[in-house]
Amino acid sequence: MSAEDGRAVQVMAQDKILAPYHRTMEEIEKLPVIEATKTVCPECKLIVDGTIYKDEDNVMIRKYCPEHNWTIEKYWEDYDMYMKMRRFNYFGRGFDNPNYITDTKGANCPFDCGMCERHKSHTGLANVVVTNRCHLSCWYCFFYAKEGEPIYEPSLDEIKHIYHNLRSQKPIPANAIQITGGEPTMHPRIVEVIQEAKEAGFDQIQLNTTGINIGLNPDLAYKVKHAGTSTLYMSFDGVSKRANPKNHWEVPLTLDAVRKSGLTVVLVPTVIRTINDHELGAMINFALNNLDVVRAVNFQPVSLVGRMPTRLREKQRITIPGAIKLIEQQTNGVVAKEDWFSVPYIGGLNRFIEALTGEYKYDLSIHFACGAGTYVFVDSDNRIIPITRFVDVNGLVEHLQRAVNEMEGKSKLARKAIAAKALLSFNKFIDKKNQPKSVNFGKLLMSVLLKHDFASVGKFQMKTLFLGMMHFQDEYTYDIHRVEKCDIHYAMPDGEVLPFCTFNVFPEVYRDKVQKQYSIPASEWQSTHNDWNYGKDKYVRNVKQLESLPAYRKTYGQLVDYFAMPVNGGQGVKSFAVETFKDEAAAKPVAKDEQRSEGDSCGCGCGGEESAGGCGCGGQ
Amino acid sequence: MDHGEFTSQIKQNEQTSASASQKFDSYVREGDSRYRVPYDKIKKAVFSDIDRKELIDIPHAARLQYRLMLLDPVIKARVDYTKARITVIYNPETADNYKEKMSLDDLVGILASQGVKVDRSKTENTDYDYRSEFYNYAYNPKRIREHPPYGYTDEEWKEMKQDWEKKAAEHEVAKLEKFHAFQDNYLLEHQDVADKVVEGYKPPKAEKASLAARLLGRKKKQAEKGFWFHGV
Repeated sequence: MSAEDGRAVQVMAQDKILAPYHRTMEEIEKLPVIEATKTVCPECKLIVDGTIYKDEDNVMIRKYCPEHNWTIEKYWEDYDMYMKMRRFNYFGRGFDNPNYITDTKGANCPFDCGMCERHKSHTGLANVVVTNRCHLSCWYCFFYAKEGEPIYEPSLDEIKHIYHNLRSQKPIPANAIQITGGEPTMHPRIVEVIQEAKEAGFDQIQLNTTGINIGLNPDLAYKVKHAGTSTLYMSFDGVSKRANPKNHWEVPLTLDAVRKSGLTVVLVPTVIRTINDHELGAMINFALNNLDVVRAVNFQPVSLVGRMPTRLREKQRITIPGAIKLIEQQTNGVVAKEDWFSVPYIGGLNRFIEALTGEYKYDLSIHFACGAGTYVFVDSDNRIIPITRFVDVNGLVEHLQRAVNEMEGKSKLARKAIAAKALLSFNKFIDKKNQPKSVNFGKLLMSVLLKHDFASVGKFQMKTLFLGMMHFQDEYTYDIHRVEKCDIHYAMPDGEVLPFCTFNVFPEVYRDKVQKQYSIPASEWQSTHNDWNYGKDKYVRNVKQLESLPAYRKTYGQLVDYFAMPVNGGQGVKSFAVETFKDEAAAKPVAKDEQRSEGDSCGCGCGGEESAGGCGCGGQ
Repeated sequence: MDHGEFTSQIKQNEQTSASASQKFDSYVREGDSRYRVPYDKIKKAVFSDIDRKELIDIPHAARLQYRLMLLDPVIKARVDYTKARITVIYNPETADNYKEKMSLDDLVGILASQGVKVDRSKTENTDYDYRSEFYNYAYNPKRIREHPPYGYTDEEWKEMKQDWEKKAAEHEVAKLEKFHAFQDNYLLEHQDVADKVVEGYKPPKAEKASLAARLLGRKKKQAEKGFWFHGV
């Protein structure tokens, strides 16, 4: 090591974020071990032992390959949170009709994938790739056909076949589907593709899109809504142009089209440290400004798939708690670390309903480290209130689980008595004083539990914003305990179903291999699609024209900074508006008309109630 | 490991066979539906005369499986360390399709490059029907067990199952009806764009009442007016 390298290592060892990567193995081996798992060597894919351990505030994973030495990687950036989430880990039911029964008892996992009988979660969300063509060519994307590569674009018949396969899963048929690509709206029969999904019985249909085609062709929004689309799952990597070069200019048009057609949107930012991690608060603020159509922001800390230089990886790596901590900082603590819970928490609620009714419900039994979420409410005074401030989620889930355990083997009558007892003591988990004025959470939960009225959840979501985190694995963080519990699956054209993190982490033996088998060579595609050429597929943006549109000026120029209001901490989010409009937006930090509550007015236009201390909005 | 030599050989085979197999129909037809299925009659090779030491251990056996799967002509590979057996489903040179191909000799050579010597003469190299044994199975996997809902025993579930299945089937029908009703309403609510959403859309005409109903209706209307009160 040169003197310069030595100095660089010293500097990194002092950096709080980089330090865990730069300890000696002697130091690392002395650190407390949390658990053991199986993982793979990122270089040669040898299955090796993984050790998950605590390094100060971080949870790290280390693995040793006899050929490629040690790999150290950040697994979770908060030990306390890891231990809290871990409490609700449980095994789901998997498939009663799997693709495989493994002779090797799972010893070759994850290279036996297909889905086997050992998998521990049923399909929660099924991804169906309808094309690998895309109108963009993002440098970091691995999921589109480059020039001269085979085109994978299944026909409507083939797609229907895949749907039927998913709906035949036992004991719980896939019920939520994400139609994805490439850019799925480039499939020439996309409307029929969606309609067929609905006809096949899927309740929830997401269209995973950049939103550009819908923004530029608003009629498509009506068509996909009419065909049965529930929501657009739309890439959105930041509010500023710099953070979101993918669709920053078209998002206003897309939101307009969505608004008019009655669709809803989930914003999906891929979070990369040093690239867009400073805009997490701004993205939440953007969603709050468009709460009439935006249902959720689902942050995806980047999955560093493929080989990449160690230093770049260390710099860009961010995990769920890392993003959550940044959100806490950027929202003045309004959405704090303590407000998040892991996805299996919700499984507790569903198991209670299932035990009470005897009808299968979705399990949500994914690994606790894969996803987290929370709900936030915007109250009439513009105060943002996360659900955990008035519901003891931990206590509630544990309470319901105790009731489920008690019900086992009991008669119908006894079950109902246990359920009634559980429900009667329900209110102790809800702090009515702190709940938003516009929500009666106890009543809502009762209607879900007693009447199994999930439409109420829909209404509930109308007043709230769901904040989610989903961290997909890569070769460095790979944990076989996580992948065997995955419930986001890909349905492949050969009939097999794969977990997201085998499909995308080992594309050479799964995604790309099978899609290549079922794709059409570019030359054949060209000969059967006379008007087609690769260049025609690509979108060319006219920035000046888009920036001059009223929709653009309205969307970014009239943003309200919720976090600049004293009720929400008073410190504004960075990059909350496009640079061009910053002055305009700062001049009127008031809520839009449609978001004001009727009757309550402090005179500043924020809609807040006037009190001795002012309305709290900061408006003059 | 170095697959270089074999992959280039395979690529050559691929180029020659691509033009040779023009007759191959990569589609399967079921009624009116047509599915692209890239293989038909292929091969399955089972190597069972393996010295387990050559597989080293379970992780190395799994990695060998991964490496076999990297080869385009290999459709599936299984390396079972415990039984010292390797199973490879592959696209042979003789296959009538235009996908990448390899011979059994290629396969034996690749295994040798990975340190696994197999006796070619003791290899079971049988025909494998991709469509019926792989594709159709994957689309209709067998049920191997039955999980009852949470909180219920197997016995309880046996009694409840029939009712639940009936209810679930009814729910599917109701769901679809609800969706179609939504579609009709959606078009009515968005009449300005309805013809763009559904080509040739015409709003439903109000039902024409029968002559009797119209007469009765008129009478009723007149009655509602209460003509004898008005202007009298």
